Amino acid sequence: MPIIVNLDVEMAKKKMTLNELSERVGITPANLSILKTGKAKAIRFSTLEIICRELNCQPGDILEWVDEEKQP
Amino acid sequence: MENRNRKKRSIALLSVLAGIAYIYLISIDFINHWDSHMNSFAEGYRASAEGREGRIPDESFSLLLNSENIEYYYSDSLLNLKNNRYMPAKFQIVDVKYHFEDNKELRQVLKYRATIFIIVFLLLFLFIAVPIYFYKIIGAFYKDHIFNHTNVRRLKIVGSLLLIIYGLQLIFDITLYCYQRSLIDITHYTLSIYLSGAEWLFMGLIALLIANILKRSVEMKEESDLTI
Repeated sequence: MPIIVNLDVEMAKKKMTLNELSERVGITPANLSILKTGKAKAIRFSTLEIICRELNCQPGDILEWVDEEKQP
Repeated sequence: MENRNRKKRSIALLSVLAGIAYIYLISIDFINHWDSHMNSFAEGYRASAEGREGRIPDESFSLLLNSENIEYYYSDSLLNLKNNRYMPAKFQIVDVKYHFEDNKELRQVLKYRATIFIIVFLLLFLFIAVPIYFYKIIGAFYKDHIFNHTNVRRLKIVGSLLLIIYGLQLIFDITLYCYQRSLIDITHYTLSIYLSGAEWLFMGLIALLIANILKRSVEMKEESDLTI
């Protein structure tokens, strides 16, 4: 998938655990884990909004597009 | 909770009705021609006794007849006992008994007899396999395990089995026709092939269609489940 989720990077920057973020944003740890590991098929704007608010970052900090064809 | 129980009851009721309909479907021929089937059992019993004594048992055929010439459509006659007059008649399906003269004649048609025996055996196996898979799917629906790849696979298997049943019936009909043609030629009539089993083709295609719809539904459900 050419969209990379950098949630773990942002969480590490803010020194926040998955369970802590889960409690703050009101999403189950299982669903956050799906998002973190890149298994998610889509993300709602509302989810993105509360994650950005809690991590104090921009959507672009969490989501990154990489060109698969240029990848080695 | 009450609504869910009602839905489960309707699934159970429909599956029971489907089971009855299936038994009706595979036994309709027996119900329609019960005397012919009873006679077949009796003849089978007699044939085994004759076989033990070293005699060649007679073969029964159900012939589908078409008029050789339309101008002589009513080429036979039946006696009307009400007025003792003969009525012109045209036979459509006639049961006949064929007597084999010797083992050589029997050997010449052995390939047909062997093919028919194998097909009947396979059909019996498939007639049992289809409801087993069908009830596995219904059981999964009853437990609310509807949208998963296992059900898609099972439904595809059911569809494929139904199509195989249709194919085997077609081969059976063609083989029986060739068998009859190799032994029988009647004046005023031509033998016709009795094609049956179109309902299996229809049900098989419908099952495969539903399997593909269910597959798409499973994909959509997965997409929905993985939307955070």
